[in-house]
Amino acid sequence: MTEVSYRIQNHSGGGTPGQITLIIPSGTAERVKQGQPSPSIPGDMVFVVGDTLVVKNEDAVDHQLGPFFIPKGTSAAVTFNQVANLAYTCTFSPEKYLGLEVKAPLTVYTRAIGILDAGIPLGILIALYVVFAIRPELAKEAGNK
Amino acid sequence: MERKILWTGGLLLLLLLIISASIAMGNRNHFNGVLISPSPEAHDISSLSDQNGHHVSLQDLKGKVVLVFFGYTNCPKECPLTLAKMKQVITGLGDKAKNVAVVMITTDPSRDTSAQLGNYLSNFNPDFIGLTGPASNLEQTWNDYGVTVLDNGETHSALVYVIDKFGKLRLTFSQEMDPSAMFSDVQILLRE
Repeated sequence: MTEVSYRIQNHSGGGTPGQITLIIPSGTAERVKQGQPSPSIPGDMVFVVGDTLVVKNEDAVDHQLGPFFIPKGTSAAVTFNQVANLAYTCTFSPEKYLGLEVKAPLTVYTRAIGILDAGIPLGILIALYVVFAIRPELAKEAGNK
Repeated sequence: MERKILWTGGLLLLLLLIISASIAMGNRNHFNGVLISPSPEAHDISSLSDQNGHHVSLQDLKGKVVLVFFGYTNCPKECPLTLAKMKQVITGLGDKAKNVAVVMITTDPSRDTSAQLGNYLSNFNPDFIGLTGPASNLEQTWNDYGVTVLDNGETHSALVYVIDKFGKLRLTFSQEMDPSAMFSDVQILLRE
């Protein structure tokens, strides 16, 4: 029933959540000082809710991307929990900003949870119906035989 | 026959409940803040002194979750907002609050004297620690934590740096984070 109702809804979203790794290569800070971009770092990034962004700092200095403080030689990770359009200050881009868009997801998990959310109360109602409606009827029929 | 149907239905319901509970429990240790790994040893702060003139090191605070924040007492918005969130987290922890330390390191040493820091922080919580010190020591600490300070004390970083009970820098909280999300993360670290 929940699957049917889901399909009836006009639901459009992004893909399935996953992990995306952004690597800050060695020498990036030097290139940024000279106004040069790092080829592996995009200008904008698009995610879906549930995506985990891992920023891996292979440079010799600490870097920052909005709420990410990434000491040298470490990775920083966050999972995006809500739809958002973000512009983060960025120490590894000559523009000093990186745009991130977070879209709504489409996942088997959310659909399964929806089915469970509807299924458990439905199951309880069915059980109560059997106990209080069907069973007495069956007992009455058995008694009449 | 009816008994069999009832038992089967009951077992199926129980199974569904167990699955739901497992999924919910699986999310217990999910951090809301930005997770840093491998977690480096947090840079020490012992070159600075608190509002009572005492040096405070992270070694002294081992065994506690430490929330480090960079701000200044004349900050119009971000700093009081962040401190208010810290206050909410501490209040929510109840007895466990004694295992958490909130440290504000000034970015405006010319105006933030020890007394000024103490008065300011006491508005939020008298146990909050305010650190200041010589300019060179402060600049080193700002640099250690990636904090860029402008002339009037403003920073481009309103992050809260979260150091676990073992002295490791584990997470950062952004200023947009809900106090409830911060609270959840602190609870996870306290349970470790």
